[in-house]
Amino acid sequence: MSAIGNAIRQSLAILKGMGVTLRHILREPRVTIQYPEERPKQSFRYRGIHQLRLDENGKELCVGCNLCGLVCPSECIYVEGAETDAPEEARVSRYERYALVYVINAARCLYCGYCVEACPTDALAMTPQFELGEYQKRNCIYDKEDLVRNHRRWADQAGYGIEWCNPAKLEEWTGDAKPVGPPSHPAVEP
Amino acid sequence: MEYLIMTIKAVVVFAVVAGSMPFIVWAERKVMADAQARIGPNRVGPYGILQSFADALKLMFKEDVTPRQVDKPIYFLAPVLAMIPALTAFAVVPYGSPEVTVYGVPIFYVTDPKQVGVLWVFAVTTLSVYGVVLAGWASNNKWSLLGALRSAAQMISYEVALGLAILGVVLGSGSLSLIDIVEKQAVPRAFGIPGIWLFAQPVAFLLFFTASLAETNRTPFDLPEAESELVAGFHTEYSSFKFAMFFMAEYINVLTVSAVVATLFLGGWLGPGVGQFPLLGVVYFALKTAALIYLIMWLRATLPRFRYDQLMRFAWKVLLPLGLANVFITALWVGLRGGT
Repeated sequence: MSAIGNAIRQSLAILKGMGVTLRHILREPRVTIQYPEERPKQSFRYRGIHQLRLDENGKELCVGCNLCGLVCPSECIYVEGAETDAPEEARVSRYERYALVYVINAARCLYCGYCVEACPTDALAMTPQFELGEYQKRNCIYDKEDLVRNHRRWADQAGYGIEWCNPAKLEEWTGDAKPVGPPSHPAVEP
Repeated sequence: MEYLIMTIKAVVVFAVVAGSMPFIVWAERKVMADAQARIGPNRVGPYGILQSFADALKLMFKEDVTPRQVDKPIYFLAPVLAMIPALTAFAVVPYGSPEVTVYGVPIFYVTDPKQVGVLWVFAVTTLSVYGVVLAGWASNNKWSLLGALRSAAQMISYEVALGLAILGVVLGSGSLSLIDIVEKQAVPRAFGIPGIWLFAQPVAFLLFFTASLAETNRTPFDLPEAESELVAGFHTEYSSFKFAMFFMAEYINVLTVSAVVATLFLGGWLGPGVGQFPLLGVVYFALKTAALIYLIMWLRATLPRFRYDQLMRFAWKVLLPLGLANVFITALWVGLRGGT
């Protein structure tokens, strides 16, 4: 008798399963994004290609310290720092130190974002740009101009690692307009 | 004259069946996409309706690889053998009311009004196992052979259940002619229940539908193909248009099975208003067939594949006793009523 009961239960389970698929057919929203026409909305912490940020006066923030290059696990960042005595108006950077050469090899980069976290001046940030296909590998090597251009194009949408620098978007991103502020590094007690 | 009309009907039926195949494929992809929260083909033509044509064209331009180890004559014969039975079974399926005359010549809406239509459907659909088995055998490939072995066992096992299921309807109708079986369903039963066999023989309907899913190698009985276990099963070694023929055979089989089930259990061309407008019967028949095709697709979107031992157990220990019981009870009922 239990075999018959089992059979009936299993047959009903088929109906239940068909009900589930029917609900999906009738009601569930489609998750497909028609990519070239529609674009996915990236999370504000999405890690796309980098940008080298400028301050409000259009001066570079990078001081050429090469911390990003040191922390990079795939060693794809090359920085040559330099110093200048020029007056502030004539400087390319906000600071006396600046990056003479700044190159990221995006073909090697694994987009971990360690470089952004290492940056002491928040000069380096990431963008939502993920369309980085190239026919030639050499075109994947981005120099300083490319990265600054990324900043000009994506600054208002970039969030990863620089949420606190983008107060206009803070509420949209985090649901909370209160500036988070950069993580503080409390001094280690001796 | 008779043969001329028959030829014309054969050509028209062939054209309609073969021509609707791409749309069935497209519909299946859309249904599957719906069930999986996707969109499905939508690039070629409006709503992607021409996608199958694009695929067929692509397949035709693919290189037709013939592996060195194959048994050539059988290897080439197999896709043809898979496709012909699917189309041939359609010859006896009545798709409209027979009482139509054009210039005084009676036109049956059936290619060949055989008196033994049921037997014909059986005889021909059984042949389709040869396409699968020979394809697997001739390919000389272990995956193909495993797929073919499975399908041989599966299709022959389910043939038994199929036959027993249909016996209930044949006993009840007292005829082997598909036209007679449909016309028997025109008479309503007690309490105003429509006379279609779906209500009088629900067990037979379930058995027949299940067994014919197995006969056509559709999910949940798609073990011969079993792409997750056997690469592509029996048609692993087939490419280009020979693959397309297996593919077409599968979908024409779906159409044929749906048409046969619609005829046997859903009253074929019958429906309100058919008496005045016989052409309406074709529409009813098409709608019933389409509904069954949708049901098959829906089942594919829902059910996982059987395991091999489950498949055999289900055929011999569930379907067979149920079928025998159904035949016994139907026979008892027919006998006690003194004929059909």
